[in-house]
Amino acid sequence: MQAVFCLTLFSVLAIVLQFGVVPAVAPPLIRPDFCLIFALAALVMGPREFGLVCVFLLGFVADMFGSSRFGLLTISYLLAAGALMGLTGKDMVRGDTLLGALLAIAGTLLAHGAYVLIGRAIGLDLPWSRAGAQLLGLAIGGALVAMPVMFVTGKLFFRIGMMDGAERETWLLRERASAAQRRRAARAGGR
Amino acid sequence: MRRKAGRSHILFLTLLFASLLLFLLPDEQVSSLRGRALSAVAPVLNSVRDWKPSQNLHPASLETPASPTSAPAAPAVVTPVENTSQLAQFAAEIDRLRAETITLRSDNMRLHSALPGAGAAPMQPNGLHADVISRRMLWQEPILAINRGSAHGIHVHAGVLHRNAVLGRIADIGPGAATVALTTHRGVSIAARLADCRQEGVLQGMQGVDGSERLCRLQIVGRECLAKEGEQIVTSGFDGAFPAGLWLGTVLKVAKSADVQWEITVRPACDESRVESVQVLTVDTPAVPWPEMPILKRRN
Repeated sequence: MQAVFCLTLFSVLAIVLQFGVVPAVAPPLIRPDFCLIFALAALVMGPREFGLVCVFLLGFVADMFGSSRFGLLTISYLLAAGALMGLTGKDMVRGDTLLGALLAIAGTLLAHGAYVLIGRAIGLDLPWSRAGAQLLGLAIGGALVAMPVMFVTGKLFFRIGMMDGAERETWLLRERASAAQRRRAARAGGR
Repeated sequence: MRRKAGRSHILFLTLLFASLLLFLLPDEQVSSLRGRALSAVAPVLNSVRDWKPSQNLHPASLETPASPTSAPAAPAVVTPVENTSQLAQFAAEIDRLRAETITLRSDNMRLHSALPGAGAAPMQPNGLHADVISRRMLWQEPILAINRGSAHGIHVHAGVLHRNAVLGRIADIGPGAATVALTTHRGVSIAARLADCRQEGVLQGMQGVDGSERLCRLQIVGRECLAKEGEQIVTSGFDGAFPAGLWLGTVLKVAKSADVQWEITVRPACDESRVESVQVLTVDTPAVPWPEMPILKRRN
């Protein structure tokens, strides 16, 4: 039930942000790929299997509206997720927001780099100049939004009990630390 | 832990295989799937569009493409306007009135044709007003999403205009939404004619030379080409999707590509980033019949 709720929420948010808000509000140089960032946030913060399903589903969403060859973005997303999982593993991140955000930026570059390479190989119209500009926009956009997305996803997963293992431990410690800080502040205010 | 890692590897491979299957889906199914998906999310994108506070704020959104008859396209002069919100209101009002005009014109044509003894109705493109709900979608070729679909009488490959200049053709369609492939899209081809020298050819989308600006190319077959830089290009009407005489763009460069073939680089009439609403032509694309061949009689 929680998984279905999260998948639906992420899909709707990604569609609204990616295809409704970003083209209207963001300047041309900032083009975050919300679909991939949400997917990688789920992969980093939640259970691995759920993360992979998220990557596939949000790749499908991105393909539906934003790919000139259907299926290619899903493949690129999965390849990037596989590479990140293989290279770093989840144990390295352990629910850390900053590391997760860095991983999301690297994932964006990996996934879209793969899209350009495969796309050029199958004859899509992707000149290097356009691809470079687009990748730059994606990286800048990713750098701006990855951190908040990671934090919000982590918070949501922690609250609804979607986290397990090392991630849950990290977030539990963080929650305890912030609760202790609040208590100290309240005590200092009381005096 | 090991078992869990093995399970996720199997899942990863399964999903990769599924995405390969998606990759191999035929284009017709993808087109229909995209149309339906866009229709499903159209209400959300519509409400996002209505909510956007800065919509139409660009002063250039008020510019109307120059008509093909007005000689060489002069750079548009934008008067500085201090009150941008007032400007946005004017732009919205203009678009609303245009939409009303389109509807009234359609009614007028219908009533005119119903009158007994009336001559032919004045030839004006009959269309439907639609708003742009999404644009610049990741790696997608130049495409706009609009909030009208097959339920409103739009059909695939129908022509799309913006302020009476050609914008593109309908690519994917769902019940409540559709996508418009712009004239700069590589898959779009439109029968075109040079306005002054009257030579005809096919206009197709192409990538700009420097990669930043998307342009079109007009291919002409002939011993000589009399086109000049700055000359206007209009529809010839031979493809059946557009009536003749609608503005398509302006000649940028003329080059000979083969012995009897010329390639003309064209700047399109509409700038996609400024388009907020469009007019979709609803006239059925006529099936062009083959001319009847005379039956040859054998002389025995």
